[in-house]
Amino acid sequence: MLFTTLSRLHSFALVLVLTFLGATIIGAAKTGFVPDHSRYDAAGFNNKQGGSRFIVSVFQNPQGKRVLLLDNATTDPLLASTVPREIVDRLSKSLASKGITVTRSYGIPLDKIAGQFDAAVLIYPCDNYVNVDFDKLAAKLDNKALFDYCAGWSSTKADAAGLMYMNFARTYWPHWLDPEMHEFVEYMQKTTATEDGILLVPSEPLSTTAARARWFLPLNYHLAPRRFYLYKPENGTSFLTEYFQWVKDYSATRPQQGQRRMKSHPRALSKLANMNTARTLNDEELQVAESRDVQWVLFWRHQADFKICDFELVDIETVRGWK
Amino acid sequence: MLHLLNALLFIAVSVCIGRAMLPAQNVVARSRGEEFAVAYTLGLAAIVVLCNLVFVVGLQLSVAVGLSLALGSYALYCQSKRKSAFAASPFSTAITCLLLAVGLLSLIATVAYPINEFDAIYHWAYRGKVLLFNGTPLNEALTGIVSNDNFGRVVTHPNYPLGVPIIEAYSSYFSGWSERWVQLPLGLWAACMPWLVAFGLRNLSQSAIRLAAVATAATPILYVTNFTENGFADLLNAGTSSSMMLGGGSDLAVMCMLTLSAALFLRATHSNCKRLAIAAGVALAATAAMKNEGLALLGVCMIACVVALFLENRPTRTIGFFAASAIICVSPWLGIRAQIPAIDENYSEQLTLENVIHFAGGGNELIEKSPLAMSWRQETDEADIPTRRSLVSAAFVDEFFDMRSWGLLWVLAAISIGLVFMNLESFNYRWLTLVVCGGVLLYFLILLVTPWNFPSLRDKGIPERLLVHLVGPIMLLVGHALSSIDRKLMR
Repeated sequence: MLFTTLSRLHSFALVLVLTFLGATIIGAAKTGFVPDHSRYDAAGFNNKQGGSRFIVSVFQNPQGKRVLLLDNATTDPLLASTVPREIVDRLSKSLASKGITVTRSYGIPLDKIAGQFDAAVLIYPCDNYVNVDFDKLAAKLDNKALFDYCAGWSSTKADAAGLMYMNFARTYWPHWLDPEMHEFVEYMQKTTATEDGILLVPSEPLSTTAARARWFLPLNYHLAPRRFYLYKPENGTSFLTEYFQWVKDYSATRPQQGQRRMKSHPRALSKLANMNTARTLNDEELQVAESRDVQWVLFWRHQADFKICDFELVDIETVRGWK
Repeated sequence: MLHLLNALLFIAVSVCIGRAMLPAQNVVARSRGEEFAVAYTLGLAAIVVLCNLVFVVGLQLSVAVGLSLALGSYALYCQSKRKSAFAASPFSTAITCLLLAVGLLSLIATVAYPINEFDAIYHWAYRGKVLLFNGTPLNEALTGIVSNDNFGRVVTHPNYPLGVPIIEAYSSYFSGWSERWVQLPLGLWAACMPWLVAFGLRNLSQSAIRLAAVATAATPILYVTNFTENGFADLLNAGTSSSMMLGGGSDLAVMCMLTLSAALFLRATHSNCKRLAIAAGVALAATAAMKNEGLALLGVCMIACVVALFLENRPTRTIGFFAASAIICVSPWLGIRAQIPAIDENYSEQLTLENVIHFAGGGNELIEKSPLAMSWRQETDEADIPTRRSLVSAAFVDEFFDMRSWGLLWVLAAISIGLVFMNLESFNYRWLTLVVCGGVLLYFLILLVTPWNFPSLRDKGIPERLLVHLVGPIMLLVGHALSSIDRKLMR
C-alpha cells in the first residue's frame, strides 16, 4: 500500500512538469519564439572597486584626461544593470586620484552635456544613453574610447563611429546570441564559398582563458561546411581544463613573433584601422595554408566579447603577398 | 514549411519501418498509442543502425535515405494488408488525454527555440551538418582534428556517436538545415516514454501499468533539472538554460532507446518471440549509437542477462537473439568509431582496475589546471584535497534525494530493488534489477576514474545527465514491483 501511495505521490510532480512546460512555451511566445536577451538575467558589473584600472590602462599618461560617466540622477528610476551608486562614487574618486577629470552626467541627455572628453563610461543603461547617436558621441571624445559597464551599447555601432568599445559587464545570455557574431557570420557567408578552407590565426598572444572567447566554435558551426583549421584543436576545442592549457601553450609558442602587423591593410567591416588584427604569417602557418588548400586567413584577437574589430578575413593570396 | 515537412517525413518513415518490424497483434498485443511510440522509436533505431552500416562501407547519407524511403514504402504497403485491431488501451480517457497533453507540450517546448545550448550545437548539430553536407562521418571534418603539423579541423569530441546527428541530417536532407525543425523528431523522446513503459508492462496488472506510465511522464528530469531551485526566476527564464533536458541533446535519446530495448526484451521473454528479441537488440545498438555511455549500457544489459540466468526461468533462446542482434547492429558504429580519433572520452582507457582501485581506495580529487576564479569557484586548498570517492558519493546521494529533478523516483527504485528477493522467480524482475543497479554502479565507476576535475563536471549537470538514462528500466522495475504487490494482495 505504501509503495502504491508513493507512486501516486510521485505522479503529483506532473504539476511541476506542466508548470515548466507552460512557462517555457509562454516565455518563448513572448519573444516570438525567437531567443532574446531579455529572457536572461540582466548583465551586471561585478567589480566592487569600480574598475578604474580598466580606464587608466588605456591612457599612456592619464594625468589631465577627461572621462564622462554616463550615470543617473538620484531621482531617476533604477534600471536593471545600473551600476550601484557607491561603486560609481569609488570609481570617480579613484580616477580623480590619478589626475583624471571626471564629469558625471546624472541622467542629463548627451546633447545637453557641454565640453570635450577623452572617454565615456556607460553606468546607467537608459534609452537616452544606450541609443545615443554614436557619431555625436564620437565627436565629443578625443580619445574615442568607450567603456561599457552595463553591456548596453552595440559594439558594431560604436565601431562604425570609429569608437574603440570595451565591455566590462558580465553578461548572462549565452554566447550564441551575440549579435555581432551573427553579423560576422553573415559577412563570411557572403564573402566565402562553402567549399573554402579558412586558417585561424591569432594576431597577438591569447590574453584570456574565458570559455566564451572560443569564437571559432560558433563560426565553425554556423559556417559549415567551410573548413576551419586551428592550432591543436584537440586541446582548444576540448573540455575547459584542456582549453585553459591550450591558451597557455599556444601563447607560449608566440606565433606572432617576428611578424609584421598589417595595420595599413583596408578593413572589411571594422572602421578601427589601428585595431587591425591582420599580420604576416610565420613559416609554419604558410605551410599549413599551402598543404590544406586554404583560401582565407581569419585573423582574430582572443576576447570574451565578440567585436568585429577583433576579426579580419583576408584572402590567402594577399597574405602571401605580404611576405 | 519544407523544413517541417522534411522532419515529419523522417517521423513517418520511422513509424512505417518500426511497425513492419513488430510482430502481429495476436503475438504481441499493444494499444494504438503503444504502437505509435514503439514503432517510431524502433524505426528510428533501425534507421540509425542502417546509416551507420552505410557509412562504414564507404557510402553516403543519400544511400541510407534512399534505402530507408524504399523500406518505409514497402513497409507501408505490407501494413495496408495487415489488418488487425489494436488492443485496448490500459489508460482511461482522462489519463490518455493527460499523457497526450504532456507529450504535445514537451514537443512544442522542444521546438519553441532554435537549437541552443553548447552540447546540442557543437557536439551534435555540428555533426548533423557534417553528415548533411559531406554525406559521411569518415571525412576530414571529423577525422582531421589531429595531424602531424599541429593544425587540424575544428570539432568537439570527434568520436561522439552519430545517432542524433543522423536524425538531424535526415530531417533536413530534402529541405536544407533548419535550426528549429531538425529538433522535431527529438521532441518526441519524453512524449514516447510513458507509452514505451506501458508496452513493456502490458502483461502485468492494469493498475501497475497506469501508475508506472503516469509516474514516468511525471518525472521532472525528462524535461528539466532543478526547476524552481532559483525560485521565481526559474519560471521567468524557463527553457533558456542548460537545465532544460528537452532539445537537441542526446541524453533523452539514450534514455528512450534503452527503455525501448528493455520494454521489447521484456515482452520478448514473456512471449518467447525472437522477432521482438531481435528488435530489442536493434534498439540496444541504437542506445550505443546515441552517446558513448550507451556502449557501456549495452555491456551492462548483456552482463545482466548472463547473471540473471543463474536462477530459474531462463529465456536463453530469447537472450541469444537479443545479444546477437545487439552485437551485430552495433558493429557498424564500432567500425566507424575505430576510424575517428578518440579524444577526451575514452572510457575503455580510463576504466582500468588500477584506476578503480586507486580512486575507490581514497585517491584524491584531481586538481583543476584552470584558474578557478574564471569559473567562479574558490581555489583548492592543496593541503586539504577531498577524495574523489567522497565527492562522487556525495553527488549521487544529492541526486537521489533531489525531488525537484527526480520526484520520488529513487525511493521507488530502492523499494523495487529491495522487493527483488520476493520476486526471484521472475527473470524479468531479476534482469531489470541488475540493469538498474549495474547502470548506477557503472556511472559511479566512470565518474570515479574520469580524468576531469569532478566539481567542474558537477557544474555541468553530472551525474544527473547520466542517471537519466536509467529512468526507463527503473520505471519498468517499479511497474513489476507494483504488479507483484497487486498479485500478492489478490491471493
